[in-house]
Amino acid sequence: MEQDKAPSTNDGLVRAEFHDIGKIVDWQAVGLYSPGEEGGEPHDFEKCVEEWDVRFAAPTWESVFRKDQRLRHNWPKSAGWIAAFFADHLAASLSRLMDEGQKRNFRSAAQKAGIQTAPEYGRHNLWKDEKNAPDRLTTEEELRELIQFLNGGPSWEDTYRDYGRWIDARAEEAFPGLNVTTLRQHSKIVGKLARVIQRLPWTDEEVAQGWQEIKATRRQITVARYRLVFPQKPYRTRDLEVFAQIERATADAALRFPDNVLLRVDDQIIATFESEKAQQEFESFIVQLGFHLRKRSRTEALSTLARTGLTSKLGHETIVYPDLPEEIALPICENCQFAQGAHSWSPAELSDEDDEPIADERLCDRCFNLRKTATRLTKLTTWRDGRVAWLFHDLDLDECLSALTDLIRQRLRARYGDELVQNFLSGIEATYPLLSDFVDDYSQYLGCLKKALVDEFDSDRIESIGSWIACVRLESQLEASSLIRVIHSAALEAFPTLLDQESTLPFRVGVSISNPKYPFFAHWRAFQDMRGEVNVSMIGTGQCGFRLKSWPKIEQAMKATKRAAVHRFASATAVSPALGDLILRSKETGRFELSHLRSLIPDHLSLEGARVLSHFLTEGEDG
Amino acid sequence: MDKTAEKGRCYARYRLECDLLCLGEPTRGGVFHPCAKVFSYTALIGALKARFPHPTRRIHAAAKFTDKDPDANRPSILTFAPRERAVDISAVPLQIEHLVNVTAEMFVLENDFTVQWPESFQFALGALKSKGFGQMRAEKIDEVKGGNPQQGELAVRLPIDKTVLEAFDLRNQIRPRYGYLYRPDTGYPREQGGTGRYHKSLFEGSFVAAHPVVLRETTK
Repeated sequence: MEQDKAPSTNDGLVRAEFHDIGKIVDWQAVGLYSPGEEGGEPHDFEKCVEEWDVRFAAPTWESVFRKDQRLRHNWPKSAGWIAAFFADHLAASLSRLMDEGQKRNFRSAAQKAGIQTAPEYGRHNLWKDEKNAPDRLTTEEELRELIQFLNGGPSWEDTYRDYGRWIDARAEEAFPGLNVTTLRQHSKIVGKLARVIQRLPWTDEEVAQGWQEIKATRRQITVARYRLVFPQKPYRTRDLEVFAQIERATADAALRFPDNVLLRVDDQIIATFESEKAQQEFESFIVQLGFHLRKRSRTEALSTLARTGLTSKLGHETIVYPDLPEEIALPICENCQFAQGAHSWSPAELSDEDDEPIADERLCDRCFNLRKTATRLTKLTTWRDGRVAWLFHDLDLDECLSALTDLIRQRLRARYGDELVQNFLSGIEATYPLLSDFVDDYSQYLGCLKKALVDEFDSDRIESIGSWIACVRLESQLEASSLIRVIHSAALEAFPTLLDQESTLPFRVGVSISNPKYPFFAHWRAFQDMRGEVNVSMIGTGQCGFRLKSWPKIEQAMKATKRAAVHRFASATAVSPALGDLILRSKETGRFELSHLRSLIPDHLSLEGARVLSHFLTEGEDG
Repeated sequence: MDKTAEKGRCYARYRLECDLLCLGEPTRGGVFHPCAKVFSYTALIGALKARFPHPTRRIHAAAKFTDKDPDANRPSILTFAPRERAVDISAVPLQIEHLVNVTAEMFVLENDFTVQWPESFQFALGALKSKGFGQMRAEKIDEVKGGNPQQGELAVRLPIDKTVLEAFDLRNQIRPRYGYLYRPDTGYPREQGGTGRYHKSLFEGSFVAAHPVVLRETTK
């Protein structure tokens, strides 16, 4: 998980991470709340203004007391309250859809239908179907300690260090069924968003307004999703350095623009900007590192975003390029084809340990330096026999939001029934904090997968490049089955609910197999054309895709089928799909020898997919 | 004055067929010849000029693969190791990506010169022509007359050159995707010692406003 870092306290910007810190308190246990009380639990510390020794000089309190117009004189001329208000609204699961009055109506309707609506404070993990036990501060002493701690103006990092246990356990929203996002991620995203919003040029008149006036503001921010792409077509193993560079670039961008970058994973970033200038600075920073940016963005008034949601549809994709010359003199760089190939990459550059096809290549400055400074993949260069399987994960953030939205809606329908959901919650969508929770678990999944691969194959047979690309040496093609089985087990452990869904997983896994000396370029092309949740490519044979949850059935069917029969089927299908289909349906072979294979088609596998995967059972074929 | 100009913009549509085609991208490491999945203006014009040489008259043409037949335009890889004759030893094996069973449509902007071309002809396109690749068979189908520019995705690669863009009525680069295409400086191709440069170009997938002949067909 990324560390929760908020920027320096001296910049005058609101520290809105703290806005919901009161949610880690059990206000009823402390004696400051009774169920049924109007307004709900006082987690904005509204009962602690007097006699509890709150020191307003501490900057941590500004976002906590954002709703109290009387107390704003403690932060004169600060737009922090506006920023915290909007940021919380944009990052919240429910407030966009229902105000307090509507929540009461919903509860009333649900209770009439016999559905329990008591708050659920523990966070429910949607993709694991696991719930945290509610864990909050329960004594007056603990509350006083928390207040004293906050009076010291601590950083969010320090606060998480001391109170992380409760921040992690608590859901951002206790509305039953919507307790799916951690308070931690909600607080982090609100903090970043609020500082971006506060940087808008608010006037004193606006700051002095009330919420009813300010919520119609036409002040705008930009929301953008980026994917870093590189023009290089990786050919030699040293070219794979570009993946490590992408990870460094996104990490550097997050450090340089800590508030603008809401979240990042692999080669993708989600960001918000207070101005066109801020967005251009961000984009320039990344393109000058040598990448192009695929971008989708939307600039919208805060008042509109508050209605439509931060995650709603962005514009068409454009590509941000660096300054490109009108002409390039010969020779062009063979790697990126966007600059002159001023340097020669020749056999003299290769050491004795490299054993790659030897021919001069013309490279530009960037591609030459990329190769020259690349971390050596020492294991890969020594693998000469057997097979290698390149493993590639691709998480699409748009598909992820969509999959998470489906999960939430299913959960709500299961709990409340279709009618109540349709009447009150039809507009519910996954939020960026929820996405951020998922990205944390996805990163953990990649780590667990790597450990599982080491257990199965031994670390000597695994080469990692970045967190989402790896290469595994296989003693034979038969081991490819084990590889996919490991992936399936790790994914089932990490995302059991997602694997069970009808809709597809939000990430894809590419497995591309060949002999060790095949150029990475061919595998990379397969990964650019993935056809299913799992995409298996056997270079020289073909490519197929299938659902990850289908793997146990597929593996069982393959093992239950005689090799000779599979080989006949595969050979026939290679000549003509129609011939392969005929063999599958024939009385002699289709119903007996190939019955297990036949049962997979078409629900779990296409005919072509069956042909490609059948090579797992055939030793010694060249890929 | 070009008499065909009286007709307004008009493109002759040809059916193109070919058994093996390698639309050469720059070779990788000297051993891997990738194949582009799209026709580039510069390669097509170079091939047509070789077939119909003329010192002054311009040719503007674009071609798109057709996808009506699922067996057409299939990618394939050929591996072969040429033998060095002097020592009779195979060199490092070459891998050539190519397309088989190619069917496409070509649109040639009509002018006084191109209107005289025969109804059917052959020409050589792409890489490895000496090995039998790229033997294109063209047969005229009809003419595409007039038409207003539409918004859509580019299905071809076009150099950013005023006359080329005008030839296809490309008026607006709404969401461009850039790359570079080789254009010879003189009439001699690179293989014959000519020089040239790479020019900034619009690549497939660019969202533009242009004549439909260069746009991807959209399914309704």
